[in-house]
Formats: sequence, C-alpha cells, structure tokens
Amino acid sequence: MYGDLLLALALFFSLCAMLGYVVAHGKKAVWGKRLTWLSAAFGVAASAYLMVLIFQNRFDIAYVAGYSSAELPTMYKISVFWAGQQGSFLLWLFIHMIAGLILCTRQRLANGGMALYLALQSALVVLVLAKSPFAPAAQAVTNGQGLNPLLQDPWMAVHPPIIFVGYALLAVPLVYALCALLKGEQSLDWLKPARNWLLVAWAFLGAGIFIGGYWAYKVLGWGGFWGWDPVENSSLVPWLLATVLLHVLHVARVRKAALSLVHLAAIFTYAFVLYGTFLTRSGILGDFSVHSFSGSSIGLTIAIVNGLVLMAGLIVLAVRANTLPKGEVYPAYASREFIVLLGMLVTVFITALVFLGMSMPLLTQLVGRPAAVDTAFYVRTTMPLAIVLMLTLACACLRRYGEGNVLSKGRLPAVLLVVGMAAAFAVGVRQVLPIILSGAALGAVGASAISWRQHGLGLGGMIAHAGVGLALMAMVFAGSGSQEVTQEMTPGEPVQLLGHEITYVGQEFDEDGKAKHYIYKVDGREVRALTKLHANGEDAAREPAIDKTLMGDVYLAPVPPKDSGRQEMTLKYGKMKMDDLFAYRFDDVKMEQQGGSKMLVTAEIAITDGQTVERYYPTILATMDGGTSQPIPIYDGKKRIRLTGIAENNSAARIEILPSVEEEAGQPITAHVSTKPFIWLLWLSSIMVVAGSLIAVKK
Amino acid sequence: MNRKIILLVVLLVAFGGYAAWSFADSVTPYVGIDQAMQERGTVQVKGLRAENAEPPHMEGKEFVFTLQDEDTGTQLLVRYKGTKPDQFDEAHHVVAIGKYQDGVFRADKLLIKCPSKYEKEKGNV
Repeated sequence: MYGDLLLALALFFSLCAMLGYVVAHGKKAVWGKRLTWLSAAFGVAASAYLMVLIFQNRFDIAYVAGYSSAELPTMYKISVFWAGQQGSFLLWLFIHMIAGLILCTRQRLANGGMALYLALQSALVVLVLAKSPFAPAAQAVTNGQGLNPLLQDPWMAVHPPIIFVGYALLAVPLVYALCALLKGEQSLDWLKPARNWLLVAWAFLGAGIFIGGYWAYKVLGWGGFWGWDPVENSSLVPWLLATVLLHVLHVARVRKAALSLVHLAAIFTYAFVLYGTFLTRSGILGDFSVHSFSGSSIGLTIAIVNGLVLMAGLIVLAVRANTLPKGEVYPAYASREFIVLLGMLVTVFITALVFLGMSMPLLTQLVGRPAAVDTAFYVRTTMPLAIVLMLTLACACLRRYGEGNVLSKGRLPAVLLVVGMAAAFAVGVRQVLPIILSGAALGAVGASAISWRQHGLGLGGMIAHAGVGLALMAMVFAGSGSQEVTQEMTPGEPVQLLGHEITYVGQEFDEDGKAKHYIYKVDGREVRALTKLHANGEDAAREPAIDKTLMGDVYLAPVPPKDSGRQEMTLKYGKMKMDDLFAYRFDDVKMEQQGGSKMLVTAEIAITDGQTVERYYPTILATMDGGTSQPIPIYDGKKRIRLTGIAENNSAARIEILPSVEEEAGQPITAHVSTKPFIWLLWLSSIMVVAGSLIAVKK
Repeated sequence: MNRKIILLVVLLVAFGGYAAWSFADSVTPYVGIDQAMQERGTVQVKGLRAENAEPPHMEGKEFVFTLQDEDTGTQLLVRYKGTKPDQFDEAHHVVAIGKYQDGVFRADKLLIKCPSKYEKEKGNV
C-alpha cells in the first residue's frame, strides 16, 4: 500500500522532472535537477520499504510470502529483493534512478537527453506498478514459501543485480544518441561519455552473463555453462548488440558517416533489452523454457513500452536522417574500418540467429502451429560465424584506422592459429569446425597483443579482446573436448573412468540435517557434492562435485537413486501392520498448541521385532500450510520412521519408514562423470573481458 | 556507393539462405498429445502427469511415466532415456521432447514445469 504510493509519487515527480528539463530549453534546468532528485528519493524509499517488508517477514505481502521465509539467512533475505520478477523490476528502476542522479549531477548530458532519460524512467515505474511487489497476498500465511534452494548460492545472489546494472545503464547511450539526433548535433563530443557509459554497461552485463554461466556449471549439475535457454539468450542478445554499438561507435569517432549506424545500434540495443524482458517475463514462452514463469498480465505492458521505444527511435532516426553526416564509412576493404564493420555485421548475424531461435515459438505461432529449435541448433549455426568473427578480429587488430596502415604482417597470429588448432586436437577435439575456431580464436589473442604493442589498441582493449579469443578457445576445449560417461558406483570401490581413478566414498549428513554430501575421491583428492535437503529429509537441490586441476575439471553429478528404500504406511488406530523386519501399531496421539497457529502432534507407535515391544513417539509440527517432521531411529537405528500425517478424527496415522542411515549411505549411486579440459581458462578469460572493458573506460 | 550496397545485399542474402537452411533443419513443432501420436518426426508435447495410471518408475535405464492431455484427457506412455528428474514429483506440467514410435513416446529430454514460481533451474539432464 505505502509502497505503491511511494512508486506513484516517484512516477509523478519523474514526469514533473521531465517537464522541468523540457521547459528549461537549453538553459540550466534547476527544477529538472531538483525534481529528478525528488523522484529518485521516492524510488529509493520504495526499494527500502520492500527490503524492510522482507526483513520483517511480512507474509501478508504476496511477494514476500512467495520468495522469502522466516528461517532464511540474512544474505539470502537481501537477494529475495530480486528473486522474483516484481522485485527485479524494482531493482532495475532503482539502478536506473541512481544512474540518473549521476547524469544530472555531472551535467554532460543535454536537457533533452535528461528528459528522454526521465521518460524511460517513468515507463519503468509504470512497469513496476503494473505488477507491484507490494500487492497483498490473497491468503494470509504464517510463513513464506522460501527461496528456491538452487538460488541460495552466493553467485546467484549477486547475478541479478549485476545483470540489471547492465540493462539499466544501456539506457544512457540510447538517450545520448537520441538527444544528438533530435538536436541535429554536429560535434562528436557526446560519443565519449556515451562510450564510457556503454563500456560500464557492457562490462556489467557481460559479468552477469558469465556469473550466470559459472553458477549453472557449479550448481545445476547438468555439466555445462550455457544452455541456450530463452532466459539466457534474452540477456545475450542485448549484450551482443551492445558489442556492435561499442564498435560502430569507435568507427564513428574516425568516420562521421558511421553515425547513422551508432544511432541504429543504440536504438536496437535498448529495444532488445526490453524485448528480452518481455519474452521472459510475460510467461509467453512458459512452455518452451526450462525456467518456469508464471503467466502474467505484465506482458502487454512491456510489449507496449518495447514497441514505443523501438518505433519512436526509428521514426526519429528516419526523420532526422538527412541531418546526419554523409561520406565514406570506410576508405578501403583492407582498412580497419571495413574489417571492424564486417565483424560487427557477423555479430549482428549471430545475434539474429539467437534472436530468431529464441523467438521461434512466438514467430511460428503467428503463422501456424508453434515450434521451437533444439539447443544444438545454436552451437551448429553460430560456430562458422564465430570463426569468421575471430578472423576479422585478428585482421582488424593488425591494422590502424585509415588506408594501408598495417601494424604487422601477422606472422605471430598465423603461428598461433596453428598452435590453437593443434591444442584443440591434443585436448581431444575431433570435429573440424571447433578445431578451426580454436585456432582462429588463439590467433585473435596474438593479434590483440601485437596491436597493443604497436599502440593500435589500448591496454583495456587488448585485455578484453584477448579475453574474448581465449574464452572461445576455452569453450571449444571444455565443450567439444569434454568426455562423458554415466556410471553406477558402489561405496569404497575405485573405478577407472576417463583416465582418472574415481572412488565413491559414501554419504555424509550435516549435523543440522539441512544438507548431505556425496563424497568422492578423484585420483586421491576428496571432492564433495552438496545436496540440500527439505525439512523431511528428501533431496531439494543437488549440486555436482568438481575436482579442479590445472588440466581441467572432473565433474561428478550424482543422479537421484532409483529407489530410496523409503516406504509409506498408513496405520489404522490399534491395528497392526508389518514390513520385512518389524510390526507397527498406532496406539495414541497427543496434540499440543504451540505459539502462533502451530501445533505439535505426537503419535505413539508401538513397534515389535517379534521378541520385544518398543514404543516410539514421532512428532510433526503442523502449521496452517502443512507440517514438518524429522525421522527418528528405531531399534538402535536399524530403521527410521517419520510421522507424515494424522487422519482428521485420529483414526489413522501415516508414517514413512526409512532405511538406517548407514544403509542409505551405503547404497550405490549413479553419477554422470565428465571431464572439462582447461575450463579454468574460461573463468580466467571472463575476468579478462570484464576487467579489460572497465580499464578501457578511463581512457 | 553502388558496390557497397551490392556487397551488403550479397552478404545479407547469403546469411538469409544460411539461416533459413539451418532453421528448416532444427525446428521442433509443439503439439498436443493427440497430435503427437500422429507425427513421425521429433515433437515437443506437453501434458499433466496422469493420475489414474501406472505410477512413474524406472525400467532398466529408462524412466517410464504417463502424460495426460489437459483438454482431451488422452493418455500417452512416455519412456525417457534417463533417470527421474529432480523436480518431477512437484511438477505441474511436463514437456517431453522426442518421437512417437510403436505406441510409446520416446523422449530425449524432459522439461519440468513447477507451479507458479519464477525459478532458474534445469529440469533436464
């Protein structure tokens, strides 16, 4: 309620601030600036309010009830803020507003640009309000559903904010471009601040994508770092387009005629930020994505905002096209200008393939029955284009802008090209295209280094470009060079797999009963696969065990056991029931009111092994929304029982009979075992890409 | 100027052809259960977990369960090459990708849909 009010005020003052900048007309917009601060104050207050609601466990708010729970650790309570779509939109708005404050304080962006920026800000507030995180819950609950155990990971806690910094900051180059276009700006001064903002946005979006990939690798256990899922692709597409924008912007600093390309790229980049959001948040792809989304009415709102930005941008560009500088975009085919633009055209092609692939369900729905592409499609189609891209990168690095300005004949890159191909072969890659890609990528690394030595590239640029080359080579190594087997392993028995001696040692439970570990030994080194458990002891989220060495990782993903040995039994009051070892009888039940609406239910179960009778008292803590119970050992731990329910008139009890801890731990476990040669290169190169682009900002 | 435009057009046409060719190769249609039973090629089929059918179980290296069409109620026996996916028991909907052959649906991949939550997770293996 208060939250929506704060947002409404933020919207009101955003619009006022926009007016303030419009009427200032080139003069100093004192009021525009003040109102921008005021609007941001309300936006920040709304965000703070949501954080307070989360920390106060206000489960009468649908969002808090849906993603948080009372027992969630503090760190993950913070990340509840952006665990769901409503909150992540608010986070986006928050970052947009903070960036807006920097923009209006520095005053390098003209008033018209600020007005545009505030128009986008208003649209974002509308998006947050359209599906508000402050909406009350339909039903009062005493505890929230909690955060998905898979998301309770430090990397996943920071992944969304980093992505959203990227999304939010991409608005800045757009408003710089549109403002220059509207004013008919003749000087190129705006390219510099636009470039710096863009570099930061690009670095953050890239870092977010890499972190997502690393998390998928480390936590999800399906063995890869990129699944070509719509949610992943929807962040990749704007990132690739931002790459294009960054490069055409550099060309435009030398060749004014390329300005039209800058405007085009800026408009499309931001439009695709919104499109990706629409695709993934509207629920429209719900049936096609492994990420589950609830269908929601917000899709239409996003689609409208998206359409408005794209149409408005393109119309402005079309109308003002005649004011743009004309002339040569490149002096010769052998110039850096041409090669960079060619590389960017290839990047646009790659983007188009990913975009068409992820939108396929939507596009085919329009013409007939919906269809989707399989994930192998992306690898197959983008691989040849990636090779061309790496070759253009290498060639462009070896030249300076202008005609006939060659930095180096490229002997080193040519040698590295062969080395890269040989390395891929040595790692175990046997397909032709990946081998060529590996060579081209390493050649590009060498070319970037030469370019830096000859002052063709700055230090940051060199690190980032070398990082991109290394990353592609690492993807070939760890992707095409990976070997995989599925193997059942008995505790204590070593097996030879993929050139490693692997022993499954057994299971170990944490003392608090919240997690267990599958313990393996790989060539004598112990590694653990963490499995988070539900309160009832069942597996909630299973992470892989990874043995990291300089040669690469051995990746062990345990598969859920075919049969956990658990058994459910319903006991009628006073009647006896048997399993293979014991007979069970439900004798009594006791209910005790606890604080709140909780109730402690204790059943009395008499159990006999044929000689003696023992009485056990399993309990269940019942709340309005269900109950939690733990297994208790019987007959010195020969088995365990857990109370799972009591019939309404106390006429029957339902129990679960579990094997002993030792027996469960001693069960053989199947695991997917794979090698990931030199995958650390991928993590290293990701850091290079991000760090390099941030270093380049200072230039 | 003309040569530049020709070059661009040639590149675009080449790319268009490449894209069309690769898409024709790898698009999987999305069908209901009744339709899936008549298709020969690879399809994606969505259904609910059937309640009045044999409970999901492992048969050798395959996970066997029954899907039910949400609208028509038609049931389809699915054999999936793999083990039971993690979230299967809590699943609301299941999407199976594969081919219908000899009365059963042979799935290469399963997508698990959990009820009303925005979750980043993989249901497939």
